[in-house]
Amino acid sequence: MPIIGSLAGGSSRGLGGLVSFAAAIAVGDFEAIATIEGTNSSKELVFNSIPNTYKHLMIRGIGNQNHGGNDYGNFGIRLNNYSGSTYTAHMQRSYYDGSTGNAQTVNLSGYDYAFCGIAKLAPDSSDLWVGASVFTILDYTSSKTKTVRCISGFGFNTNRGIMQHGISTSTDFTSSVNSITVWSSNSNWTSKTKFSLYGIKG
Amino acid sequence: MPTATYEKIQTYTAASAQDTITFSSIPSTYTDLILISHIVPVNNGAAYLGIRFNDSASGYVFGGSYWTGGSSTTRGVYGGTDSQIEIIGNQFQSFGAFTVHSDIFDYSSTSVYKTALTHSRTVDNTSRSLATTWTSTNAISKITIKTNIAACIGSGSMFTLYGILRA
Repeated sequence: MPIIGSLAGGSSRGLGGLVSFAAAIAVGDFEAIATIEGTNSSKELVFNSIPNTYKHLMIRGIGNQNHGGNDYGNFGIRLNNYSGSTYTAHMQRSYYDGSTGNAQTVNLSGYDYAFCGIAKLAPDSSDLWVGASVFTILDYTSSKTKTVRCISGFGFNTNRGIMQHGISTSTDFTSSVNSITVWSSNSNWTSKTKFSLYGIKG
Repeated sequence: MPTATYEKIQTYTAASAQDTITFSSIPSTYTDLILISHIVPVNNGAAYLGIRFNDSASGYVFGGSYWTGGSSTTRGVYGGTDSQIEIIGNQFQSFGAFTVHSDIFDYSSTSVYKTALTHSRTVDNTSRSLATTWTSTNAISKITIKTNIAACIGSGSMFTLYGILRA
């Protein structure tokens, strides 16, 4: 149990009648399903045999791609390894290049993966910087098109930073999702990469 | 076999106005931390609010957005290095209660720098969405939420720390 302190009075107590959106999650409604790690030898990390017993899925993790440039690289997911060029993405990207802030709006179509995230590009194996991401795949067992909500970002290269958030979907993919491929658009995932899949009950 | 996770580690509710809240001796048994801060401001002067890890006052590299202009909102982008994660900007004391959501990834790893994604919203120009990497390979065992002037975190403010463990 952690120790909580403050410079003035306070109390440590349960949630009581106070409301917080995160407090609505009860123990047992959120389950860890699987974790995959980068091996320096593949652009694809795959969650297979995903149970259909949840309402939504979440992927959380850190990413680092074996590529020069010391900057950021795009990545996303493929549902059931579907690579039809029907994925769209709409996101806000905030990129600070060390001297200038760039407010970018990302509107893409015709992609062969759901573009969601950004990861750190690793100039060498000792790179310590990683991108952090959270993706939520909503109603993943439904017969409708799937919405992927995403947020991703990191600071890097001593004074730069990037953050993006938005949604992505495929306009013609309506199957129940039983596998997810975390797909790097640049190069192999390094061993610093770890993505974990969680199930959220409805 | 799926395993239940997303556990509440601790909740703290301020009984009186203060400027520093500290979660210390955080167990290393989770993968990610989520900190939900519900803050009732007290107007004791121009204040901003930040998070520090392990009492470190340097090495926070960040980029992200802020919003200005009230109803005719304009988004700005900034970044650089800082002495903390600025989770909400100057003047937050002028507005009503607000919530900050912070995700802290792989907080106990000693092989990567630590990255946090934070979002705060108020009714006007202090809102922030930031990605910040703390350039340390030390495991995070202490989180401090701090204002720059005294007693701006009012009575009834509530802070809850959750832990998520990967499979």
